[in-house]
Amino acid sequence: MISNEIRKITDKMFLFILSACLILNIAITAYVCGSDGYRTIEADDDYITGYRDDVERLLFAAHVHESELPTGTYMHGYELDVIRIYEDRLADDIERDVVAGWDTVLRMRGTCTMLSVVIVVVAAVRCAGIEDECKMTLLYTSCVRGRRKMYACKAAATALTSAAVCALFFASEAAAVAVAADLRGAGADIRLLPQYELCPYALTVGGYFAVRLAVTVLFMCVTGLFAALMTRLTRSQLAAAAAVLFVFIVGYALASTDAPWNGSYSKNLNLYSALFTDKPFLQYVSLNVFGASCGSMTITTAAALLSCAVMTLLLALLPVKCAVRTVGRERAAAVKRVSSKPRPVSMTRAEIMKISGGRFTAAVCVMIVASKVIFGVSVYGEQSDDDSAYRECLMHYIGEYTEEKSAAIKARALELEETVSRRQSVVDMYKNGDIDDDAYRDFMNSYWLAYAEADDFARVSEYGEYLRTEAPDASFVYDTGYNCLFTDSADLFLTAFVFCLCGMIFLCDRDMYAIIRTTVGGRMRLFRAKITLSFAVGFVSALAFTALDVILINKYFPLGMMSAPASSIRALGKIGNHIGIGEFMCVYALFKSVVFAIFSVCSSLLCMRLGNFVLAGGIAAALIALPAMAGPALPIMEYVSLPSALSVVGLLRCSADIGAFYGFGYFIAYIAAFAALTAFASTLKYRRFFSEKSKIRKGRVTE
Amino acid sequence: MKKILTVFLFTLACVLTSSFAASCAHGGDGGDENAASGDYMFAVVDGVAYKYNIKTGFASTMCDDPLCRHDSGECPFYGVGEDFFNCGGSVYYSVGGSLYRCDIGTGERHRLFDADGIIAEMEMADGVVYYNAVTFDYAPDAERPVSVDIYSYDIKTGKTEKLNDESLYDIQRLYSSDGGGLIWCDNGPGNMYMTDMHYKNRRELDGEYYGITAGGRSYSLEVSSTSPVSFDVCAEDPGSGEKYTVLHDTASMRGYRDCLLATYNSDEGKYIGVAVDGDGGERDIYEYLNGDIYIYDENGENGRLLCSLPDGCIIESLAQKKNTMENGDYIGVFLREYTFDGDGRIINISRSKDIAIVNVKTGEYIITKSR
Repeated sequence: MISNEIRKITDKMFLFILSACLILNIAITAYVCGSDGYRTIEADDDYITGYRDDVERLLFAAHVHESELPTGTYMHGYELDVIRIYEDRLADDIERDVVAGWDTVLRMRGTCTMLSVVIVVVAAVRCAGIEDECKMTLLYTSCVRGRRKMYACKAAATALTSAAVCALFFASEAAAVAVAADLRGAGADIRLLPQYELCPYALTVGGYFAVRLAVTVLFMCVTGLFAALMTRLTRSQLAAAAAVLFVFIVGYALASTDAPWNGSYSKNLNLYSALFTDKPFLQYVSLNVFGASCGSMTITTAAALLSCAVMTLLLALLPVKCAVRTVGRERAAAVKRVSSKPRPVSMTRAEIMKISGGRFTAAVCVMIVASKVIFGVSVYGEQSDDDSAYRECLMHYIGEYTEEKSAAIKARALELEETVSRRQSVVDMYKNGDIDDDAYRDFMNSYWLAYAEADDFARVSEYGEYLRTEAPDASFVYDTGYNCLFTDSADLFLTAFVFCLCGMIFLCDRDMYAIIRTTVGGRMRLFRAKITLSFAVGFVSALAFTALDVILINKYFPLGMMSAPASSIRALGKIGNHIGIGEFMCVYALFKSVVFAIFSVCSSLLCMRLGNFVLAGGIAAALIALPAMAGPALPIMEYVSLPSALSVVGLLRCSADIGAFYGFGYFIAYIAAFAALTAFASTLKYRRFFSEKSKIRKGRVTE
Repeated sequence: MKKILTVFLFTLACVLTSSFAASCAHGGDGGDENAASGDYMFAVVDGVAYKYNIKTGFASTMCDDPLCRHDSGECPFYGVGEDFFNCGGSVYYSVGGSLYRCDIGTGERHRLFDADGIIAEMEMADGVVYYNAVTFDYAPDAERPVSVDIYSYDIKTGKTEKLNDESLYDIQRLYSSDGGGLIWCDNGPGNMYMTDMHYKNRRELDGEYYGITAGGRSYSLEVSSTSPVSFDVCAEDPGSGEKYTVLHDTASMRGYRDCLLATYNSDEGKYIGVAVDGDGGERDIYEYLNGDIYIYDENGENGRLLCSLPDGCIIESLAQKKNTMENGDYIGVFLREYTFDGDGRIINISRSKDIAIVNVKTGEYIITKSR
């Protein structure tokens, strides 16, 4: 029965969402590894000295508190624990070692856990609600011992799936880091990672990862069981997901509130803290409940196990009365639906209603949009901090390019270079007594300022050089935001969104084809309605995503000076010699919408042709991924591949590079080819419909 | 049944999220809540605010975070001024242009108000905080680059009042309240004057005012030696009004209640080490200050040795007029420390973050322990 429940959970939809989340997790991890997120930590003497200093500070504070507190009180025992633990830790020296990649794995766990929670909640609510959908509850619950057995099996299946999903995500993340960068030092002391320097337990990095995985698995089971319980009680998958969200929000609020009533238990022993933060594991005090001193890790694990047991028990003891009442309510609703007067709906509108009404489609689309927003906020937020110095430097020269500005940039670059290069000579002069303290201090102040500014000013110099040599009519524009907007790579979130939305257009009611085909003119109208809808969905989605991009990017990198020539943006190169940035943005949005509208139609047709969403998704993913992988070996892929087609700027640049049809010609030709292919495929499909109709007429094929 | 179960489950969720909160209401990472609020002295040394426990002798930072380096804006006491006041179980201090109150018992901090400008020369008199709000105008053609306004903040009522009508050119330093008036020093020309409690009815004072009082009498200082520096402590005869010397050749002194406390330079300096001059030459450093504190009555009579601090403790100065460095029968005394480089040469002379806490009745003392 348990394996049956697990089989019910792991249907195509679940596997699709799981795959999507895994790919997203791996992609984000790989991205972080590629950017500044990956680091190799070498614990040298300085680090070990700093560690000892920190622990000594901690011990001193504990001694101060302990001396001021009345003996025998809770807090006195708390401080004694701190002293005991950290005097031991201080006596246990750290050995010099190198840790690579684990820092990223452990820091990235937030994203990994968030995606795991999504999957676990989806699995749990489906497992708990699937019998209602199939109307099997009544049958099961009327069997001898069937009721409790069913719920117990559901609980076990939910817990097992949750554990498996959690382990899978952890493993995938570690594997992604190992493949994308490097993963070394599992046997090193956990204290070598700066964020865990105060870990009160003697653990290796790998050991900590294993413990963290085990506790996360337990709490993930708690989350799954809680979601399943709420589903049974509320009879609504949405309400159950909302209840889980509520518990996490409460946990987050408690974890980040410093109010006096909010003690260390409520701060650390809640679902949010246990899953998303390391606080329960890094407490330099033990949570000594009942006067007995035991580690916070033990308390956390015990709490998770206890919660699992209680929830499983509750699930197994759930009364069936509510199920019977629900069935009654559903029957009444069905009778009402049948007895009410039908309302005529146009075919296109019916298709729209089908898409918007699909829970699966809605859930996936919401997930994609949420992922895009989270990804955008985190990536742009990080980039914005890094970019502030460049922005500061560039702001002095913003506006029309002039020779005076060019000269000023060169002079400033030379000045910075000279200041940085003079350091050693000034230090020598100071040592020899040639300059006094004030002069030395003044120089060092200017040196550090120059040192901090040099790298970012180099970017400004490059920008100035570009304007001088390639676009003298252009202006200095704060271009980071535009560079983010006009990227060479295709918007994968939008691609996935459009594919998910349009893939369902032909798949959601395949069984109805046979009926509609037999109606007079029905086949063509249905086909036309679906194609029109695909086109519209792609067009509108692309516009909406572009708007979302502009909003997100503008929040972190102000998009100004839209009237300046588009060639002011280095990424656009030769594309925009004669139009402004604002105009180019409109053209870009329009082209992108057209491209994705056509892609949307292609996706719909692919799904219709294959009749299998997962298979179609795999082919689409291969069409996108393979050219990207083959790119270095086959340069032509830059011009003819699907990613190139979906990356409007990339295509426009190719168009400008080969000088075809004054810039946009290649691009237009590409779209035309793309559209022609789509039209051809559509016709083929229509002809197949037609031939099937003939076959039916001839009585050679029966449905 | 369903409702009961739903309620039960949410309760369980609450147990997960806030379980045992009640049993740990006294929990948290700190631990000061049981310490008596009157056991501390406070001071700012090298930009870091310290609290000194007069019973245990621990010198800990006012910032609760043991790992904080107190060198960035993340530290709540970063940028704290040296003007610290103890009033009604709370410490008042300024950071930048804001006045804060820190509850000694709980460690909670409250921002009381934001001044219009940078707060400078803050002083407390009769439960009212007086401060200079300094604003700068960086325009090349600015009529007045620096403008100073004097404000008062009544701790009881929480009201702020601007005291001067026209902006001043220099910071006005409040020395003390005396006989229902305030004694000020204009930092520009350096003249002393007195006003009422609302900074009205200004009248100039002759001579200098040192803010040294004991038993209701004021004292002044006269330099008696320049190497090492020492002072004669003088007072006016209440009957004849003539000035006479109360104590001779003190290195530093302070009045406390009806007593005078003084330290003296030793006859033979103690060799400390070698320091490098700005021109690269080396010179020997001798320290004439020592660790002996003497106590006298208000007339400078009945003197006796109150205490001798252990070897190595050098009293930097007794002249500490902030009330955060006194608590009941105890006074805090700043010590001096020398910093040496790897070759054993002196590279710095500074105020130590550890102080001596001395009982002025018994002479018992404790040297604080810091990290």
